[in-house]
Formats: sequence, structure tokens, C-alpha cells
Amino acid sequence: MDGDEGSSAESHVSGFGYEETKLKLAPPYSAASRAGTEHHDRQRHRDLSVESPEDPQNARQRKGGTEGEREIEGDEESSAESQVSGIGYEDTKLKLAPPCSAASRAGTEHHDRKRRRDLSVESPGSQASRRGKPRPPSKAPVVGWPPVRSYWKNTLRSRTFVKVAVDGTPYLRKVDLETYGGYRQLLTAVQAMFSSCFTIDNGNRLVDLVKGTEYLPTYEDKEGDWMLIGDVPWKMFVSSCKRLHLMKSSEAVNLVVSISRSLLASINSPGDNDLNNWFSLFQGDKPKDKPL
Amino acid sequence: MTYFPEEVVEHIFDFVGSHRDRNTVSTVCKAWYQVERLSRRTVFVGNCYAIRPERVMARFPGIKSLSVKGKPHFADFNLVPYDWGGFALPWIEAAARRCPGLEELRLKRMVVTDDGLELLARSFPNFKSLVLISCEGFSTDGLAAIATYCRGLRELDLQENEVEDHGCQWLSFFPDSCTSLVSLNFGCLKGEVNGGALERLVARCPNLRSLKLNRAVSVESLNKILARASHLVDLGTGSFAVDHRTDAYHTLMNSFPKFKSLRNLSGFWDASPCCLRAVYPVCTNLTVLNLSYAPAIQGDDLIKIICLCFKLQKLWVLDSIGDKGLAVVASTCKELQELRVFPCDIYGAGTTSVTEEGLLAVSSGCPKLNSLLYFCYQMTNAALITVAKNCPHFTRFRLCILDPGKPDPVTNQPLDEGFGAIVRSCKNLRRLSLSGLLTDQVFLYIGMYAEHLEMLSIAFAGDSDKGMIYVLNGCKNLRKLEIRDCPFGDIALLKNVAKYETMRSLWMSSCDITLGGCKALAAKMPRLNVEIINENEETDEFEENLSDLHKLEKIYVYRTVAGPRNDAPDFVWTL
Repeated sequence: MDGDEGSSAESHVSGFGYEETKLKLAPPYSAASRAGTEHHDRQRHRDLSVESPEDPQNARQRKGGTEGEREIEGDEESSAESQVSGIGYEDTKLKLAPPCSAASRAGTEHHDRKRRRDLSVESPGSQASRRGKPRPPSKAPVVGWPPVRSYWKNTLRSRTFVKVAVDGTPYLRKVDLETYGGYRQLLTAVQAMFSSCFTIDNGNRLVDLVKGTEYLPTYEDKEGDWMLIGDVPWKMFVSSCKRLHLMKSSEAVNLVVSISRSLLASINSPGDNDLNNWFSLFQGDKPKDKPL
Repeated sequence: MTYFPEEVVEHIFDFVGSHRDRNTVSTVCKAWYQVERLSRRTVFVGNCYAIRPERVMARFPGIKSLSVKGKPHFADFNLVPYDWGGFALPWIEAAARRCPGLEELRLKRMVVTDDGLELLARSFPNFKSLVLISCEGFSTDGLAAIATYCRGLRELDLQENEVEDHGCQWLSFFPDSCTSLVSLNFGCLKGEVNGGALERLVARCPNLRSLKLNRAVSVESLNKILARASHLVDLGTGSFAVDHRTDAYHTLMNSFPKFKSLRNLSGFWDASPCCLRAVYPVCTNLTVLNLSYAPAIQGDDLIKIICLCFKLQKLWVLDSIGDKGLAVVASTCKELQELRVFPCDIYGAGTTSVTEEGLLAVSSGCPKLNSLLYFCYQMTNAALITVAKNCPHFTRFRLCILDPGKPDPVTNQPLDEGFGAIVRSCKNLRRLSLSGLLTDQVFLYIGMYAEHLEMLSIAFAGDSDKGMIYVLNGCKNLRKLEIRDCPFGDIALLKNVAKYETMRSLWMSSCDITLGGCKALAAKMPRLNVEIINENEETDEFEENLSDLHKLEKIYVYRTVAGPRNDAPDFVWTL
């Protein structure tokens, strides 16, 4: 159940010396900023345009305008790089692997949460100050509060029910992403839920055999962007996916065309069959021999 | 009675059951002490550092059952550092040396290792029952050792432990000759288990009455197991999630009616509403129902199942049940004794949750209610006063208002009067947890009225030292006091130092205790261990240079005859 696919993909590509051999247009940078830039990479998948170097101030505003993305840890380093090579840097970066694992991002998020908690522990004050003290906002996390066993908290927190919407159906369904080990199982489960709409064909595409229409699986991530399923390692997908939407391929044309072939090729890493199958959806072919 | 032969005295002592009574009996005279200690079969050690294991084994060579507790209760909420202590190995080693007749070991909040489990498995030929609650430090390899070497094992009960997963094969280590299992609970394991081995084990244990599966056990596997275990009294269902169009679902739907003896149900980790229907046929006989791991079951579906459970005595649910659901509980479950309502969404104000209305309904509808754990977003004094009137039989009352220090939303007053009513009305109250906005007044009430109170948990409450002093001076039977984030300082700590020797332990964190205060306490009371838990790395090296005015983050004070412990990590200083 623990995201085999994601971890095997990342261990395959994040082998020794991998980082050193990665083709980059900028000097190497720290792990923290890498976490930040990988995040931006995912945003950039749909944005093909190679921009000339810009003022980082404007760059950030532009990012905010088009993508609506939030500031995260590592933003500063990555914007420093864009200072060097411009906002289009991420787009032109050739990579040999999918973005790095959810572990680093999850790790930083965990540290964020922990830090916030430690800072906001309500310290007891004197009588006067306690009485008049405004209460912390109810959402401020405090260490060890509420008093529920961490075992129980962990058991419950691993719930990732997301809505699944399919074009042309009046009702939505919900799936718990945590119960699946990877994309293949998710695909199978979703097909089982909507078996009247489509089946899975040999190329692992979702097709309506009667009408001949194809469905593209997309999802909305935490930043509110609509992404194609299959780009990122499974665990990272589970932690960032908010809802699923299976779009009829005719409506998804814009989505497909805007992804550059070179990026596709680069993400099609050897040995990762699931990701290959997903990409066959818009390459229009059966999975090819791996380019690298 | 000193002229009676020992055998007669011993026979009389057989009727003296409880630990406390036996402890008392043993202090009467030397003869009774001797008879009692040689005939004692069950020993309970509430704090593993209060006494050395060797002394226990030497005094009670004939014990068959040993229970030991380790870390302080607040360790459950991550307030105690990971490697603070509470090691089980010294206890297992001492028992292995002196008491080979041991049959049962129960450990709570202790660090248990695989080596310890293997030593346990090999050392006691009559070993029958292992119960581990909220423990950590071991893996499925340790469980494999238990399965391999404990011939005649009757009970393996793992509750909420952190167990490292080293593979699914441990179950296969139960030999074919093992047919004695009565209770098997591995609900806390995260990894898969070998389905075939599990089914065969269940099939060859005709006395199996309690089986609690973990989340990794699928419905397909559950179906096969249920086919072999129709005498089960207690079932933890595993994941309980399956598509309703599969054969497995249909088999499941037909599985339960034959379970005439089933009384306890739990698990349901991934249960959907339509899967839950499978258990409707047994609901009318249920006495215990635990749905607190099933967030997919929302209010209306909870109501559907609860409507059928009119013999229910114990109910654990999530607050998605809502006040409406609790009203159904109140009208249906007239035998209810224990209710626990856990928060679904702990990081923000919930969409559905429970308020004082739900608690009011249950208090008026369930006359036998005596144990409560209730997480909610608000509570009023009026409600608490009414609850106190409706339910004077509470022995355990734990109310957690999720927003620390929140007053009565209607009157904007502290909740002193409400909790005061509870302690005044519930004369048998043994355990109390407070929350919400509280002043010193509530502690005055507690000190005055809570005569039988044994355990008190306080957070974000009180105005001054007086609060703590009221409690220490008042509650005659207080055994455990745990306090966090309250303005209690050295004056309160030192006001009644003799009290601490009548108690098991005192925990204080994020209060106003200073190093000087603790030093004074340690100096006055040599039979207390005054532990300072200092996780601040900067002050590690400057221990001697710390001024007495330095405020301490966490202290743990407990009575002991064992002296300062020798396994304390660097960050724990015993004064």
C-alpha cells in the first residue's frame, strides 16, 4: 500500500551521481531550493514559453498572476536563480527524472508544522495577563493539543478521500487515495466505479468503446492547478491531489498540446511503466522504447 | 489470628482480591507479610521506576501475572521525549531469573525490544498471555519469537503500539501444534500479514473468542476467516472496504447472521456505508461498538447502525455523529455506560461536530452512563450543571474543549461552576480532565468535593498558585496529577511536599516551576525522584551554571524506593 511505484521510480533515478549528471542551465543549488524549484517545475509543465531573463520582482508577480501559486520554503533560492537565468529557466531545464520525491517536500512541510507548533505554545502568564490575554486563534497548533494519542491521529490522518468527476455523468464518486498502491490500482478502481462510461484498453487508456471517446485523467493539486495524472511519483501525487477529473479528450486538447515533447521524453524515465502508459494517452501511440 | 496455621491464613487471603487490599494486609504483621507475599499471584507496578524489578521478584516468587506501566500519561500526546525511558527488558530479565512460573505480562507505555520479546518467549514455559499497550521499540521479528516459543499461548493482545514492520511472516511462526489461542489482536500493525497462515491459525484454534485484524486485512481474507470462526465474541474487522458489486461483498453481507455470540465490534478502517450494512444482523446483541477509526461513516449512517444497538454498553465514535446522532444514542442505548466521542478534524473548527446539546441528550437518556471522554468545540456551565444532575454516577469524566481556555459561549464566564457541579454531584468520581476557561475557583471545588478523585489532568487553567494548592490540600485519594500550561509555580509546588509521597506521580510542563523550586523539593523529600526533562540543547553543558531562577519546561516527580534511576538519558536530570 505504500506507494511502491513512486519510491522505485525515485530510487532508480536518484542514484549516486545522478544529480551531478543532470543537465542544467544554472549552477548547482542547495537541496532546499531544489525542493522549491521542483515545485515550480510542476507548475511549469504546461507553460512552454521560454522567457528572457527578467527582474525577479516582476517574475514573482507574473508567477502569482498566471499560476496563482503560493510561496513555499525554498522560494527565495529559486527566485535568486531566476535572477540569474530568468523565469524561463525551469522550462528549458532538461531533466533525466521526474521531480524529486514527496519526502523532501513532506519533510519541509513537517518541519514547518513543527516549528509553528513550538512557537505558538501558549505560555502561562501572570494572573493579570492571563485574564486579559486574547486567546490564540483556534487554528494555531499547540504541542500535544488536542490530547489525542498520536497513534490514533496518525491512523486517522492518512485519509485522502478525493472526489472523482467524470465528464458526462451526473454524479461524483469519492476514492481514498491511500488505499491504492499506485496509479494502476487507482485507474482500475476508478474504471470499476464508472464502468458504464469507459473501460481500460490495451494501451491503458480510458476509452468509451461504444462512442469511441477517450477520457484523460486529470487532477487538481493543492495550489488549485489542473494537472495531468501520472507526472509525479505516486506518493507525491497522493499528498498533493485534491480531486480527480476525467475529461473527455476533445475538451482536453488544449491541455495535451501545451506539453512539450522534450519534457515528455525527459519524464518518460526507463523502468517506470506506469508513467509511460499514462503518456501514451497523449502521444497517441503505444508506449515506445524509452529514449534514454 | 496469629495462632492460625499459615495454610488457613493463606486460604483467607485468597478471598482478598484487590491489590490494595492485599498490600494493606501485608503490613499487619510479619507473619501476614510472609503468607501474603508467598501466595500473591498478581502484581501491579504503576510506575516502573518506583521499585527495582529484582525486589519485586524477590518478594513475590510465586507470581503468575505481572503488570507494569512506564512513561507518564502525557507521553501519549508527544510531551515526553522519545527516549525518556520505561524499558521493559530489566523486568523481563528479573522475572526470567526469579519467577519462571510467570504466565501473564501486561506492559503499558514501555519500550520493548525484540530481544526482550525473545527472552520472554524462551524463559517462561507456562506463558499464556502477553498484552502490550502503547508500547514501542519492537518489530514483527519479536512477535515471531513469541509465536515460535510460547507453546500454549492463549492471548496476544497488541493495542496501539508502534511496531516496526519486518514482513508478514511472523504469523506463520505459530506452529501447527498451536491450538490454544483465545485472543489475538494485531490491529496496530501496519503491514500485511500472511493471509493463508492467518486463516489456518484461526481454523485450528477452536477456543478463539477475540480476533482483531489490522487494516491490511482485506474483506476477501476476512470472509475466509469468518467462515471458520463462528464462535467469536469480539471482532476487529480489518479494512472492511470492498466494492459492492463484487462477490466478496455479497459473501460479507451473508457472513454475520451466524455470529450468535458476537458482542464487540471494532476496526472498520475503510468502511463505507454500504459495507457497514453487513453487521446490522448482529447489532441487537452488541455491547461494545468502536467506530472511531471510520471517518467515512458520516452522521446519518452512524444513526442507522446505532438505532439497532439497544444493548450497547460502550460506544466509541467520531464527532461526525453530531448532536443529532447523540440524541439517537440517548433514545436507543439505555444500557450505555461508556461513551467516547473523538474529534474528526483536529486542525480546525469542524463542519459537523458535537456541542453541549449532544452531551445533554446522552446524560438524560442514558441513566447508566459512568464514563465519558468527550471532545467538542464548546460547553456551557448550564449544560454541565444539568449533566451533573442527570448522571451522578460518573467515575470517569474527561471533557476536552478543543480551543484551549474557551469560556462558556453563552455567558462568557469560566466553566468553574459547571465542573464544580460535576465534582459535587459525582461522589465516586475517580478520574477528571478539565478544559475550557477555568480560574482558581474550580480547583477550590475540586479540593473540597472530589474525595475519591485519583487522577486529575489540567491544561491551560487557573490563575495562581492557589489553584494547585487547593487540589493538593484537598483530594485525599489523589494518585496522579498532570498539569500543562498553567500558572503554578514554586510556591504551589512546595506547599505540601508530603503529599507527593502519597501519590504515584506529578507531571508539570510549561508552568512556572524553577530549578530552585525543584532543588528545594528534592532536598526535602529524599524518597521522591524529581526529574527535570530538559530538551533545550543549549543548557545541556551548563547544568551547573543554571541559575535557580531558571524556569523548567518539564518536570516529573514520583515516589520511589529505588533511588535515582540509572538508565536516564542525558536530557533527564534527577535532582
